[in-house]
Amino acid sequence: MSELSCTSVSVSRAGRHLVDRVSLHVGKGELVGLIGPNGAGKSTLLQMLAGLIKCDSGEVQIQQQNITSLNSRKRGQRLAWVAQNGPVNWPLTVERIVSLGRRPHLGPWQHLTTDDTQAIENAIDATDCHAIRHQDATTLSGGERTRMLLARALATQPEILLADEPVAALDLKHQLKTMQVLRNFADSNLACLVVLHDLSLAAKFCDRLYLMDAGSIIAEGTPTQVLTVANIQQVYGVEVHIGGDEHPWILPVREC
Amino acid sequence: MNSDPRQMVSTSTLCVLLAVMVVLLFIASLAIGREPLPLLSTVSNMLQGDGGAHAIILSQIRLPRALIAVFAGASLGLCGAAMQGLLRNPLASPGLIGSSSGAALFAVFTLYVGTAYLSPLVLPLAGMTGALLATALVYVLAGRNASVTTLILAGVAVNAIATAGMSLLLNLAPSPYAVRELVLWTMGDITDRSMNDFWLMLPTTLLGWALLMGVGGKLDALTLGERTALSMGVNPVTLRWRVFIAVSLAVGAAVSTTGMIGFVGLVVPHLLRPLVGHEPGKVLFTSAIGGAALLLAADVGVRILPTDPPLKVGVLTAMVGAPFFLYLIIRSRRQYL
Repeated sequence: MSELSCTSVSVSRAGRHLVDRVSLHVGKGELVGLIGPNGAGKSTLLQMLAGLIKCDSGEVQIQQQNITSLNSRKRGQRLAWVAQNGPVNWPLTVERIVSLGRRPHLGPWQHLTTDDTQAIENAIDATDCHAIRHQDATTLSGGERTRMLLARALATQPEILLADEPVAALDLKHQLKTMQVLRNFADSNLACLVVLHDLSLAAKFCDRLYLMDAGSIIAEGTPTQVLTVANIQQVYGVEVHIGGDEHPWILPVREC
Repeated sequence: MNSDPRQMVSTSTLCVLLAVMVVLLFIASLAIGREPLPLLSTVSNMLQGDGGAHAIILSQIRLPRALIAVFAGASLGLCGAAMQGLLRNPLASPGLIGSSSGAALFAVFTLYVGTAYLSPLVLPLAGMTGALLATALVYVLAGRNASVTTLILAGVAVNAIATAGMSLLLNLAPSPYAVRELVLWTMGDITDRSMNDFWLMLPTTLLGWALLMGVGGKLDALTLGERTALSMGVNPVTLRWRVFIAVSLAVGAAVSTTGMIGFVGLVVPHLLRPLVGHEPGKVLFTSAIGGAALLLAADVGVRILPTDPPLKVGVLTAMVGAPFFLYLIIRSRRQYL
């Protein structure tokens, strides 16, 4: 049974099909990667799945319920979305930013219960944010900032996590750490969909992949099924070497 | 949990300190003036049913003046904080969406055509209508789902229309005396107000404040941008109009009663923000108390300053506020470039 699914969703802006009749599903305990070249419609699709953009046609379902039938608070409790390069507008402390993740659960007085505090602590633990918890959130490095925003989403304790390129700005170590956070999230029997550019990381951590191009899903399945020389050449226009056994790694050779 | 080590005092301590300031300044505002009042003896005389000149000054001149300063100042501080939080910009002010200038235009119009002199109700009611109409015009110009930039530009347009209307009225004013009357009114002043003026501004003011209750947490969420706020269950479009309508009600009531008092709404949230860990929600309430304190202080200040004629309170806040605004711009330029 899938936690999050969409059937034949489309959206167009100014006559251009950004997402064209896409269907996908993410089950409990699954880490699913969404890959594809720039402008393929990955971010738009993710925002449709998060209920932030209305579909022109088709339907998004959270736990077998149409997403439009959930009120925004319920949706915010069950599903968290991490923006690509999300802004932080005021110099709050990291800890306070993370605690904003509890908002969908709080009562009218915004009072934090011990459950809330515990969720915040767990999120800070999971993302390794202890050292920066009292720092000004606007002065962080790219990697620290990504970890903080991910911690904010984890603090919500959602059942579904949608992350838009969370490792794009990170160094190797933090890429691995962040992907491991997402992996652990999925392994606690929750659903996670992540947009990735690094194909090797996608192959290493994800259970399944969707390859997207020009608004449509071109291929889906396990990393070894999706990441073939032919698929990558067709979508990215790049010739690659594929190596490795258990987890394939992808080496770009030349444009073609 | 959630204590910010950068904060010198806790938010509740800060609120208590500001509230004590408001009480002290309120007492000062009752006591200080051309006729110094011995407060204790006047109040005890009043309680014994003894009228007298002092009792009349206290209940009919000083008390409404102090009350209006408290409520108008609180509205300006609160609305400034709400606008800055909403637009996520420390240079935003309550006048940005045209409600102050709309109120001023309509109020001045009643002075121009003379209806203001028919009843003391006419001018404030016209002002509040003007504030709401200005906000409605912003809505029509920008559309429901407009971006923040479009809204600010629509606000600039509405402000321009109101200023043009004001210049027209001044130009057409029949006598130099009428011009003087119009100009002085726009300067912002709390002298010669009655309890009726206070009762008149109270309902709209409280309605505006009530609309801003519970907005704090939503403004906090907005710190992470409109999209993320939406994903956390905060609809930025609904929030925006709620704040705009609240500002136009509360600031409209304040401007209709006191004229244009600039910079309180800009300066107060800005000063208090670092003291509450920059959280937009906490800036709201503290700025309301801070705004009341600042306007009371300014209104006591114009009575102490030895100028003849006495300064209008709006002139004093502008004299102090404008250089401060300049300083803010210079500092933010250093910060961002």
